[in-house]
Amino acid sequence: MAPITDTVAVAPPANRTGAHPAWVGLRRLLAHPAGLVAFIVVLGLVACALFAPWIAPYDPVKIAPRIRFQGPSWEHWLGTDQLGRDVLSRVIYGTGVALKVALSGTLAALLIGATLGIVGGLSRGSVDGALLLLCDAMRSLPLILFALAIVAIYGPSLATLIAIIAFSMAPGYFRVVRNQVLVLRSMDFVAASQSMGASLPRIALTHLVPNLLGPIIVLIAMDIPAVIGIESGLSFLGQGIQPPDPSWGSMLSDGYSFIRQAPHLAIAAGLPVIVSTVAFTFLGEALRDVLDPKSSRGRG
Amino acid sequence: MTAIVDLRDVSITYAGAHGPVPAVRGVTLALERGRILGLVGESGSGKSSLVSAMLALLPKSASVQGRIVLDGRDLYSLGEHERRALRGREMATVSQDPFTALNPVVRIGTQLVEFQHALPNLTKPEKLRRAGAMLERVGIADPATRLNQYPHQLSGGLRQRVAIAGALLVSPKLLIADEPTTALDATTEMEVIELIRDMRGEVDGSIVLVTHDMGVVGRLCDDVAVLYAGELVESGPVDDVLNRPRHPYTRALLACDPARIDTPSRHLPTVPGTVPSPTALPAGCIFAARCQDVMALCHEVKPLLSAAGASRVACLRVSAP
Repeated sequence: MAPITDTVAVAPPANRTGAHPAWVGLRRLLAHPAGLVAFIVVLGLVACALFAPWIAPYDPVKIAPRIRFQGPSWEHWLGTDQLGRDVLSRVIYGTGVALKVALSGTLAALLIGATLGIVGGLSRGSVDGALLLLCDAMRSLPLILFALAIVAIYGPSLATLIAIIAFSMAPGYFRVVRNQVLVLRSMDFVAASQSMGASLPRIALTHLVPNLLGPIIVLIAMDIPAVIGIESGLSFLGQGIQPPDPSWGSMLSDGYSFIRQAPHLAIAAGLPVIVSTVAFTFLGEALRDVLDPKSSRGRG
Repeated sequence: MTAIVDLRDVSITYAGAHGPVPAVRGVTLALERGRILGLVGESGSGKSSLVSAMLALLPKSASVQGRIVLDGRDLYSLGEHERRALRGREMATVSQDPFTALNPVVRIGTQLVEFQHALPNLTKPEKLRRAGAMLERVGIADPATRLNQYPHQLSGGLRQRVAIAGALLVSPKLLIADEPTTALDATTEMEVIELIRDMRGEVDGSIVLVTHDMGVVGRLCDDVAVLYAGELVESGPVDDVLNRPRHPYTRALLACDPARIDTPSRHLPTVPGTVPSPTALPAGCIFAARCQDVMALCHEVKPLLSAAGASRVACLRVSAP
């Protein structure tokens, strides 16, 4: 065949006919009522996390013994705690801690789980069987017991916390990715690219990963509340974020101790846990509706 | 004339749960440069196995005997790595269903670039430009827009054109089209057949068209090979085979082509009976149980492929009348 010399002007991605799916998805998400509210709340949480030093009115770890256990006032909107620290500032800084743990833990879990899922789904056979067994064994461990055991060995720290989250969440990603790969590998376009001589890694990158993004994004949004729960739970038990760093869980634990003298402490620490959990859950469900091609909102 | 594909006494055996299953037996067939071969047979005739064997994409449970020579190289004496290098360089495929053959979440342009992964010394923009030019050649208007679109934005006929463009991009020596029109409606089918006929010049070798539609064979192919229950029963130039079918099975298949029915009828002709299972083959002719012209001898003696006119036929009525 003669070499192709004709030139065709290739336009940059034109939104007129082929908008990037991420934009289409975002537009649909914002048209989803619960999705819109959840998206705004999550954006607010992210802003709190990123701009805590500028938003927070006080230093979150500065102790002021004279103003201990103050109720909400104009100076301290959410009052002060047992050491006189400003609760609002601690809540704002706690957002950063919570999201940092949630995001890095979830991403680590995703990386481990998705990689093993692709390996398992493509190799099948004994490798897949061994991974499945490992995954089921991990899932059968009671999470808090497992976490406490790990903390007992390695000591409480941010890194330990992230590692615990990564290992306890990875099996979920492994399951989803592996099953998705099993479905995808029987698709014609995978066979077609095999018949064009594509290697397995090439097929994984060009065909599997783009098809896996949708379910993974939903899973991440659904998992983040659980991870925030784990962080708060471990911090509540004193095994997570260590004082004086602000964490919703440890603040809740402090507030619990003084619930008769100063109930505002427990309420101020509990509300952000509830709000963020609900927001991420709704965001996940909205994303699932939006990204599911079979849903009624299918094509926008 | 040199043969692009030369199948010599090719047999394919699958390891079944109850012993080996000989799905294809003793097929000898040569495909010359520049010709289109129609591989015809009903379900279970072994045509898909044969095509997979040409691509060296049979499952691990299958074993191939005989030789498959692609442009002078014995496919099964090469290593797995070299065979994979041949796919996408010298062999390309167009699959049956254009609705599933393209990845739904990847842009057409990206997929067409990806099809060219085996071509050396080309940058991504060059590959994209080639893809656009090829889309234009296969009759797609406004290729620049199409490259940015996703498969669901295209109709079935357009998608099959994209798939054909993808296969042609690598200038294959062997293009295998596995029932490329089965999933399309009649009008689109005609267009795709026209397209393959127009594009045959782009293939620096041969095209194998797998089909069970004799009408498609007549419109598109130069040669035809009729498979029945894993054996070649008749092969030859299309004019000869379609006008002077010698094997009763070929005749029966032609009788089933609705386009050849002259008098209107409410009855669609079929070939009575079923294909014998490869694990329980009859002693004599494999078609004897369904044959209209069966002789007593047919149940005992296995007919061999022998020359008859320009064709080769495996029938006792032809070889030993």
